[in-house]
Amino acid sequence: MPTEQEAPISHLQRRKIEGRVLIPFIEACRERLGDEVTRDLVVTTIRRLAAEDGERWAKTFGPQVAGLRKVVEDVWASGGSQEISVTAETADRLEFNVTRCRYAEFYQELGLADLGALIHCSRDHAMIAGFNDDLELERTQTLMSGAPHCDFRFRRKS
Amino acid sequence: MTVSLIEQARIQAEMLVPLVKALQAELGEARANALVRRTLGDVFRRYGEAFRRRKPDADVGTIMGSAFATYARDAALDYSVVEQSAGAFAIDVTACRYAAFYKALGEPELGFLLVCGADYPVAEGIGGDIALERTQTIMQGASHCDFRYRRTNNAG
Repeated sequence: MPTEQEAPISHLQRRKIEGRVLIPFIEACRERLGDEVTRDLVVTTIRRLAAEDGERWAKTFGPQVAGLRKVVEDVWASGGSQEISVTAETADRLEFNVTRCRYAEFYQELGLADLGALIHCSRDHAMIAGFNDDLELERTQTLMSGAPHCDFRFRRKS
Repeated sequence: MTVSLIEQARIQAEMLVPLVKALQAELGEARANALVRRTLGDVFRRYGEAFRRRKPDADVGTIMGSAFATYARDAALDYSVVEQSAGAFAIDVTACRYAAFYKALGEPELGFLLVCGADYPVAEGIGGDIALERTQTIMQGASHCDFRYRRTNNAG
């Protein structure tokens, strides 16, 4: 995380602070430019930033599966932001389900789960590309979109 | 809120700066900036309103003094008070880490839009007939920012 701080800020707190300006900004863009143009604009930008996050986390935690698990547990889920159950971890894959997600709850409480998927969930595929381009993410469902859990399956590309 | 305003501004800039630039590329700078000003204007006006709710009876000097103490947390601003009274709050800001941050990014114009641009809608939200006059800012390259808040009408 970029700057010097007086107290560490959790990942969830950062996302909430960011959401305060980002949500109205994206809503205004939608009103003005329509869904599709806004989506392109936001997704392109967010993916670039997420890839940079991935690169930084790879430097901090190591670019392998063990490092990825640290990202998940120490960054994403820090301070109880997510409840996670890991179902498989080998050198070539990390599989886990997220059974509770306060990021999703934050957007759902605002009635903005679709924006949450755009701002939050859409980062993950780009993040892994920046973290280690030999790994890929398959995820078929998310809490944000109403599923009972998110099914994260990170694997080494075949 | 334990996170200082300068730290919040940095976190928000991380996404906002590239998005506003992408929007400028899409709409042209003037139209993009107008959209940003209007949108964030609403957000900042609500900050001002919330601030007023916490201090419903405070006069201009008190409420703006307290607002600037919040802005300045975490050594974000150096300023000297020129006048602080029931009807006025006048200060010169002589160092500004918000400006330093945006200048380091090479984006002082966006800093002016996103940070300095907040001061007018915040004042509107605080209400109580407070008007801000400011002729120059550090973000735009001046030696100091000259904030002059006054009560405009004389209901009180």
